[in-house]
Amino acid sequence: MIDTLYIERAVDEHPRVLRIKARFPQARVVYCDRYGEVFNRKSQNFRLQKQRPALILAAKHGECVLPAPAGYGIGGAHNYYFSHMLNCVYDCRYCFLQGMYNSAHYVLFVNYEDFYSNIDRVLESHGDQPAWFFSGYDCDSLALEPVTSFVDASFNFFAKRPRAQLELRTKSTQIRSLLCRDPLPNCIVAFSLNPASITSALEHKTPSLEKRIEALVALQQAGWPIGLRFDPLIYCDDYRFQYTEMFERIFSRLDATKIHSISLGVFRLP
Amino acid sequence: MSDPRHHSLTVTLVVVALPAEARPLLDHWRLQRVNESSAFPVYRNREQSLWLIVSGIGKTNAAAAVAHLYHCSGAPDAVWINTGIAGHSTMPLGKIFIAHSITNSTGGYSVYPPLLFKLRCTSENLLSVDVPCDTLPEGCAVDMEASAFHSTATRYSSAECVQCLKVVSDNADNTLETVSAEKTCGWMAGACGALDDLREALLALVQHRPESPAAWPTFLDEVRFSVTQRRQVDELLRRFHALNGDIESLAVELPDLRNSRSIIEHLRSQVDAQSVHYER
Repeated sequence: MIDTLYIERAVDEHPRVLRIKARFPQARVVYCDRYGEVFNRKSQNFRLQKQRPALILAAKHGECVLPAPAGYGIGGAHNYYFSHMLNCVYDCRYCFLQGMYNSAHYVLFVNYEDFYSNIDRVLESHGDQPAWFFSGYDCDSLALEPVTSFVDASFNFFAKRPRAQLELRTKSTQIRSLLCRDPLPNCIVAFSLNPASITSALEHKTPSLEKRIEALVALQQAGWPIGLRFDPLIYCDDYRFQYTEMFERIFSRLDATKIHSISLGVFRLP
Repeated sequence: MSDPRHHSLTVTLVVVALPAEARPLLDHWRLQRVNESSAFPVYRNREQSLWLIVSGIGKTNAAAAVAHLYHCSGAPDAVWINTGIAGHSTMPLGKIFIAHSITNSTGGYSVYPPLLFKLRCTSENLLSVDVPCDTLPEGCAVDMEASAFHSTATRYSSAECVQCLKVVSDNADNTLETVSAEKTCGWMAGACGALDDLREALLALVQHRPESPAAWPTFLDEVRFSVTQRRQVDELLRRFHALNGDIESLAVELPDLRNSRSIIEHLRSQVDAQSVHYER
């Protein structure tokens, strides 16, 4: 799956880097000073790299948590997003990641603790009020979870901070790490959903709508708060039929009274 | 100058520094000297799908040779390969490797050619120096052209298609003074298979390069567009391609339009009138 690991020299001995290196023993390891040397170079072809992306292991410097764009939240007053990864294993034709970066390589920031520190600072700034933290803006929250273990590593942090509401936005069915533990009431697993025909036409390499519904059902039955994100809504000739059919499929399988939230989203550009 | 549009996706451009590095490759690929070239010796095969230039030693020569070969071949999106001999403190003589990082000794900056394919040979850091090293550094190979080759070739092609494959000619036990033209020929002959593999991998890679929908259809060649208009046409062709999957149907109507403005208006009206369809 990963043929090349680019590793910032400063994080080479980081425990998460060592674990990921052990996971890909055949991978070529190339060291760099800063991930931008590899990731931000001009003259790269995103589409070519998308055929066989490498994984870049780096440290995130500066602000790790940023205010969410207007309209991205689900009703909370204070909305933030963070990206422990850049780029996505999926290849959705409408996704702004298609043109956001010069490179299609995945970047994983392994200094999760700095993300937690930033989240704590943001929480403090809002006194007793809850704040929302969205994961999955510049990546899919769960798709590379078996490699990153970010969600797994973050449970204890969020379990101790009920004011911090975490949304894991995903199209992935990598939910094993969620199902093997007690649900967190402040962690919402939110699936992006589109009609099956649009999924197969535009959401390349993603799990089918049926697989996503199965994952939602499993999470709901396990007691996890789940969210439905019809995002982005895609217009097509027979959209009424397409979306009606999808809604019927979803709500015939899920307990609608136990859905945390439902939201609609529009096509976004960075 | 060849017409780039006819073969640019399949052209391979090879840069070597020395005649002794070139000789086995000329035989292997059956390349013939291109007569009109005078600044550098340039060779190509009969199909004009493979070109080779002998740059001479050093970064300045390498950069100039890349530019010269680009203009000789007329291939804007070719795959580029720099090959030849290099020193390495620990690798055995004749060992073949591909560069996964290239560092310019002057300034110390590094580039990382994306390796989006599997090769049988190993990969290694490559340091490009200005003068031969008395002592080979550890942890990298040393040559005198790769950084200049790479920085110049990536002006003409994307970084994925610009690679350096080298053969070890000297190491800690066998100094540079022991390298001869005869030995160099032998090492490069041994690298022909790896070069074929690399070339095949690169050509397979670019097969998946999304052809720009604005890859100008030939029927637009005779129309004069301003730079701004050309951008507008690029954008409209891209949108037309996204909606229709190709731009072939345009060929029926557009050739009758000779005026740049009328072509842009026609394209825009075509694109704006279409709705999105998804196959069920």
